[in-house]
Amino acid sequence: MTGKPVWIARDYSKCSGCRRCEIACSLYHEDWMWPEASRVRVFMPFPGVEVPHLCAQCDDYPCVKSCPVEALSIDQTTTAVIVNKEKCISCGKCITACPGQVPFLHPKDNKVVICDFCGGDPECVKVCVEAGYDALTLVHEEQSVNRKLFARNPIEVAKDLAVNLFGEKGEKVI
Amino acid sequence: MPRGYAGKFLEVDLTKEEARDITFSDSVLEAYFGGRGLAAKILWDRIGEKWPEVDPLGPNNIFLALTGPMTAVYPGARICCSGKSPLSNGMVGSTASTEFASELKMAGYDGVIVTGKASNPVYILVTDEGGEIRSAGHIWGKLGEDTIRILNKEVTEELTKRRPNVGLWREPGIIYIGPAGENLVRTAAVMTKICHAAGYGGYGAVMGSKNLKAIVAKGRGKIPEVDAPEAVKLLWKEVHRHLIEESDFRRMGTGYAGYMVGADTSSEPIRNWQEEWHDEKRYGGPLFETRYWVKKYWADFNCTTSCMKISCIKSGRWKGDITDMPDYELEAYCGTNLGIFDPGDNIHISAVIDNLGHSGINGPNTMGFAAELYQRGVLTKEDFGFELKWGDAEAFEKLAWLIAKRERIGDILAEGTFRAAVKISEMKGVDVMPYAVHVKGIEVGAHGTRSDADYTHDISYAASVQGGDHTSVAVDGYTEMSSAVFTDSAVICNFCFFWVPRSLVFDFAKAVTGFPITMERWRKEHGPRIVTLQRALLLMGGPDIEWRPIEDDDNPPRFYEPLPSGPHKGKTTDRELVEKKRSTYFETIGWDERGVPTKETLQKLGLADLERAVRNLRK
Amino acid sequence: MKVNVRIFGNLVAVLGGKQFVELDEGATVGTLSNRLAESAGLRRQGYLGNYRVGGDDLAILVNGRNIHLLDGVETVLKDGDEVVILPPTAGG
Repeated sequence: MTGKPVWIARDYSKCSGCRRCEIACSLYHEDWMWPEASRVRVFMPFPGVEVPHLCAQCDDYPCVKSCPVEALSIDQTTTAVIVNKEKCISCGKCITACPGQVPFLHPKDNKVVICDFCGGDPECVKVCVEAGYDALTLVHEEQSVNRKLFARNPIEVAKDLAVNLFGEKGEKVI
Repeated sequence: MPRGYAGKFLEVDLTKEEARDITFSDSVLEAYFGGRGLAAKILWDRIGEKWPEVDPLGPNNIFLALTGPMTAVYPGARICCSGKSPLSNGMVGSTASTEFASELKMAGYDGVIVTGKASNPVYILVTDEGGEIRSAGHIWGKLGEDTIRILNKEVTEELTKRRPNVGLWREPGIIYIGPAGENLVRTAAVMTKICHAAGYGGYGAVMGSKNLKAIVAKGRGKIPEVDAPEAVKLLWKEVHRHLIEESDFRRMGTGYAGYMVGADTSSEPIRNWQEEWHDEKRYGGPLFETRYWVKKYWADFNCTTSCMKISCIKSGRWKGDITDMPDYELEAYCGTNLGIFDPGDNIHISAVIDNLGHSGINGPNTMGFAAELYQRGVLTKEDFGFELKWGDAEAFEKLAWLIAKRERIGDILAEGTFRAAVKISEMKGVDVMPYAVHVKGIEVGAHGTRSDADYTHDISYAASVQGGDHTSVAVDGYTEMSSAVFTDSAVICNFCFFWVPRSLVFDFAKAVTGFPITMERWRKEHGPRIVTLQRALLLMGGPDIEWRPIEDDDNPPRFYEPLPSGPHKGKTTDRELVEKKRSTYFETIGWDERGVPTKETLQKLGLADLERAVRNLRK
Repeated sequence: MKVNVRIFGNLVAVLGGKQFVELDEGATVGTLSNRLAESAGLRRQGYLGNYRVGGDDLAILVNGRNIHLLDGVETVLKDGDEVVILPPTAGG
């Protein structure tokens, strides 16, 4: 475990939809409860099919590469993407570059928002584990090409999850 | 505006096709809080002494969907629906757990107040930009699942079009009605998230009467700011700790009660309450869980009780049905009350009921009533178009549709159990009132009073201003004022309230609003104020029925029949106790011996403007 | 003198259900609850199970009236009084 960077593992079928991750994240980063400013956002295109959507720290960082003003950089210890708000020009190129459109513009200052692991001890994981759901858990593993596979449009994830939950019916609900 | 509130309410006039922002004074908010309390105040202020003339299904009724100051910030966000009830002719604070409530607050609104009637089916969309009315012709007639699927897609696409470069838009929160509400089935619910419902009161029919298919909310703002944020952050953690460590409903929800309330407390409705005890082990919780539960912890916004579980039938003739566990009330009403003791059949009927937008309690209460009339030969195959035998899930599915579409005898049954009983008695020349299990028009929840072993007793329903509503029973005119009356007004979920020390809840309320809130004040002032206002409206009633004080402040006739079976065989509700406790109850709140609020009480509670209307109710 | 006691919810297992309790004249609600606790072998003074007698979480009614509206635990009981002990209950 020592030496390997952190990562937030996601087990979608365990997500309860409580959205405490959104509350915990925004309490930490925004000092108040603000789900639409949370770096992890739960999508629910059909009730019961909840997908926590957050950065997967792709090993080739397409978002960082796409930024025209170098507002995005990589934290060498945690592997998280770090946003320099002063440099960000809200162009949205990183959102398009991301295979899952994970980043979004902050509802107030319009600067891009991306998970930074809370510096290495993520708040979202704490509340999810505390409640016993374990949809978001902290693991220590080397970055790999697999990461990018998690940067996926949440509706596409939900379509798969729906079939897992509901069988054939799941093909029809989203 | 005090803290905890988003700052404004959306008022929509569907006749004029106008939407505008309004506010209420700080003193009104402090006195009535939100949700149920505020709804009662708004309804009285706007309708006043004309109350008896207003047809609950006409354009002069008002539909309200209100949050309270604790919604979303305290665990378990809920919306409170209200208006003049088509069932009781009073008003009920009818709540449902839903992200619609948190989205409304994030959009900057504490509630939506809808007047008039749209000329065509519409839905209301609430965003950070305000409220607007949109056409719902393409979703009118659709079942719950399809309504959600279509609106989620449509609204997300629309919002993306309006603000395209901000990243992925998430789906909105939605409250909606199904065909039952559209066709003005008096017991129809306001639905959300396929299986959550604001079920008591018949507010789905009120929405339907306004051609209002849904209200949709999506906001990107903060949860409203509070008076003492550092205190709230700490209290938030504490409340969740209690829910996670101590809540009884985490693991199994209420889904094991379908067996226990029958076998243990002998208070479960079976075949229209003809019995209340059973020992059908095939109807036990583990049999639902093992075969059908696909999600074991399902929550709504900011909730860790996560009492909900999701059931899905993956094989056999009901393949594809999705509903919640079902929760106990539907395990009873969509199950044992219809003579159904098979988990799969119960899940199927629950899913049908949910999709049609029937109330899962009130609708099947009428269905069970109809089945007893069939059993007794009062109603026949001619009335239904099919046979209606106990336990026949296919027949009860057909009946649910018959009522939702108001076809054949369904048209009369759609009037709710009480009015249907009156009509059928007339029609068939047989007195069927003894078989109607309701209190003041509102069908009784799945907890009987005859065994005295459950939490419902003598005056629980009889004295309650919300009739048969099992979530808000009368206790002693004091204790209950800080339970359901409070949670329905704060608008938070009861299952995030039980197991939390009351002092913690009320400290939370104070830290959010800055109001000098204590449990004692709720028990002595706020609660009695709200309930007294509700009582006045209930007794004013009209236009088709006025309840008779004392006579109608009573249990249904069936609850005085001795239990026919089980360990509590022979027991029944004690009439003498009902009379004694009812009279004490009235006295405690400050109503006269007929339960009419006295002039002094109205004065004391800040309701002096009711005196003229209430004077007419006194002997 | 005798009072008629009805106990509900999760206190039934601890204290028993419906029962008559013999008390001396002038006995109070406090006296009664001590007697019930004693008979059930409960040690915690002033508590029935986890609920403080006279606290907010336990509803104790004498003839239908909550003791908070009477004299609290000092409420004096008479022969034939009906006492109901109601822990907070949940319905769903």
